[in-house]
Amino acid sequence: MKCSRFRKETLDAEQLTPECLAHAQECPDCLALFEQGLALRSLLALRKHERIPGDSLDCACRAFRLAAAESFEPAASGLALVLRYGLAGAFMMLLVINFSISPELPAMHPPEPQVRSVAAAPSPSFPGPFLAHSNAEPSGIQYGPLPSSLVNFNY
Amino acid sequence: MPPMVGTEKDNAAQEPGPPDAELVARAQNGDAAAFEELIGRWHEKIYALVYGMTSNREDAQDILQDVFIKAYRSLRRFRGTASFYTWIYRIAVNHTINYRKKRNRRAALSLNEMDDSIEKDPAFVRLQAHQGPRYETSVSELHEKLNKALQTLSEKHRTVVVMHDMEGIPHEEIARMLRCSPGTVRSRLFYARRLLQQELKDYMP
Repeated sequence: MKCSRFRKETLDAEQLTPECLAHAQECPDCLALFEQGLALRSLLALRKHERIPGDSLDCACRAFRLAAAESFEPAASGLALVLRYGLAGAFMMLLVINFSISPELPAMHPPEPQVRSVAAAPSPSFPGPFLAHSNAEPSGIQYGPLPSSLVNFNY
Repeated sequence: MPPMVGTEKDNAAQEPGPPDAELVARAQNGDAAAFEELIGRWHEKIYALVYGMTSNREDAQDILQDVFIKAYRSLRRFRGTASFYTWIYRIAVNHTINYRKKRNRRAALSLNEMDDSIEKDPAFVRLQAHQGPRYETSVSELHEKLNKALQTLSEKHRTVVVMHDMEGIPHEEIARMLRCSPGTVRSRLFYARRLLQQELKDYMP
């Protein structure tokens, strides 16, 4: 038996088969590996003595119930969505029905431009030029120094 | 050896009440009580697996909750081609690996208490006898050393060791859960054990 086959066959073995035992007697390395593997597995198995926390089930169930309750929310929001889209659809339907049954409206065209001849057009009457008051001096107003007059000092 | 998980048929035979497949079908039709029964049936094994991978009881508790919530939310996609336990174990392993990646840390140890029955365990008695009274190993020391040694392994090697050497899941079943070949499982197991032997050489004969 080859070492590789021995190792493969004894990977999980608790005891050696006669064939493996014969190989182990010839190969101390393989025997040591087998014994160490056995010891390691029994050492690792000691972890089964760890106590699982008593509240692990309660915690898991509580978390699950919360999640399950939340998962119902999409159903409620789904209903809201149905209502929302339903209302929008109904509105669109009403619009379509309204247009389909309403009387035909006259076609909308831009007003035709009125053509007028230049001759027929009234001649524009312009008012006379507006002249502002001139700067002419109004009568009675004298500018400049007053004319001198005699003064009676004997009085 | 740790108890074997076995096939779904075996588990259905062990567990009183309806088989997993029936509970799954009921849960798929909205029966939350059926899913709670599944939680009750599998929570210890999933916890042990997750705790084995994390060596941290708080993380294990959080992940356990997440696993069942995730399973419930994706239950409609479960077609029953694999057994429920294969399916939920796969969710647990993947979620645990992702959880640790997200946290991006070597989790600090936060260990469960050890049961007193360990002192009567033949493996522990043998270990005490091997070490002699001078080097007598305390339970807590061994406990911590074991968990620390496990944490030195990579995720994929630790997963295989926990699933096989602690949970007793056969190679073929692990291969199905991890979506790899049984040969890969065996080779990871062999390599992981060699590393652990190095780490735990003080406790080896």
